[in-house]
Amino acid sequence: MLRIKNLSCQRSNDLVFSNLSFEVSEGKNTEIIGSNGSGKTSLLKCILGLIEKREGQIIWKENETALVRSDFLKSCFYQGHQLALKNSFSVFENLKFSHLFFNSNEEKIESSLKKVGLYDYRDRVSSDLSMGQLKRLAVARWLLDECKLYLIDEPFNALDEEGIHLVSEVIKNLNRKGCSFLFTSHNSSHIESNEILLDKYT
Amino acid sequence: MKEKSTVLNWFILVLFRDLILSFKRIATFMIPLVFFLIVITLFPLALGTENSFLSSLSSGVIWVSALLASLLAVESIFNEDFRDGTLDHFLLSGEPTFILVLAKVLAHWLVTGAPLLLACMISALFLFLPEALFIPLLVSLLLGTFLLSLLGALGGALTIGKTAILSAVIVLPLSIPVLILGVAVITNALNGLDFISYIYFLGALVAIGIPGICLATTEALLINYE
Repeated sequence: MLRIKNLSCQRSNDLVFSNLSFEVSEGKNTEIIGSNGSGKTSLLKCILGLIEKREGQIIWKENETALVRSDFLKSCFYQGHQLALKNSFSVFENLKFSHLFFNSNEEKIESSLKKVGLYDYRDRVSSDLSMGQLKRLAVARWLLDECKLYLIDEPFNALDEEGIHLVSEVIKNLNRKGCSFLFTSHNSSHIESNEILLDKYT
Repeated sequence: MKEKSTVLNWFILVLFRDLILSFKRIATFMIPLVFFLIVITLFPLALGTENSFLSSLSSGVIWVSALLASLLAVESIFNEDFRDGTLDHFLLSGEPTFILVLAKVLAHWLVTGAPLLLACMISALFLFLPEALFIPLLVSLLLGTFLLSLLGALGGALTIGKTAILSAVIVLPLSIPVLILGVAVITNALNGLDFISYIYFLGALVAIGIPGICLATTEALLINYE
């Protein structure tokens, strides 16, 4: 589905990684493992075209992503370190305004909140939530629509055991529906995935 | 897969979201308004309350105050969304960035520029501006504050992730033509001279600015994003 061929990326004249190649298959997970500063976030942003690549190819369904950018972006969901949640919005509103990007209705929002255990907090202002709860709220947004490819920066960060289990289950359920995940982490996670050690390419 | 929305839907949704967000944080639109009124009030206190003197200075005072007040909210156009990751989502939505910029400019104007129009009517009374000049003042500010929002968006996009002061330093020199034309409308109207041509100039700048400055802002946003 997504093929990365000999990808090199540089930021401010420094080469972040080079000659990176891997493939993300439909309904499968790929995990990018690397130390701090190894370029995990840069890789995700480079794939999405937010950072210009130095060389190599990013191929989405047999086409260079640059040629099918709009279709590619419509098929992707990206979540970076910042969760794109507004402190002044309530839990419900934060998902409601994801309508900007997805075509979800109120029932779907409520169902997503139930799945991540935040339904009872639906009217609470997001600034009152803990970091772990905010992460869950961000996960609820994944469920509003099923994108083909999820690019998630450190999905298990700041989560307790229960939260990690919940995110793992959400990923597995989306995998069953044919959704693929490309996510980053410092250490190998407990999810079945194709592991790429980014430090080898820096 | 995310559904493709129409350009109009995308525009309305961004605008609606930004407006709701602003009204939830009253400070966003109250601070420029209160700042404007305070600055206007300071002039009669500092210069005395002699009617004709204040009246002759009123156009410059109102315009400089409006310009400074509109700068206060420039940072909120893009920087907040940049910091919390929302801008990532916007840029990766697959929707046109130009429309995003246009919607954000309009939201900024509705939140900061439009309330200034009402405030300038009150301030015109403080400064003993003749009632006959209210309409030229209102029209010039209507066009001028929209231009200031366009320029504010450009400054915001050029300084994304940096301090608000830097965007103010960029926007202020760019605002000089707007200031000159805006003041000329009131001064000419006050002296019984032709002011319509200056309003046409401001209108022409808005007509050129909407596509021109929005395109420049879009490019600045994409180039500066890294």
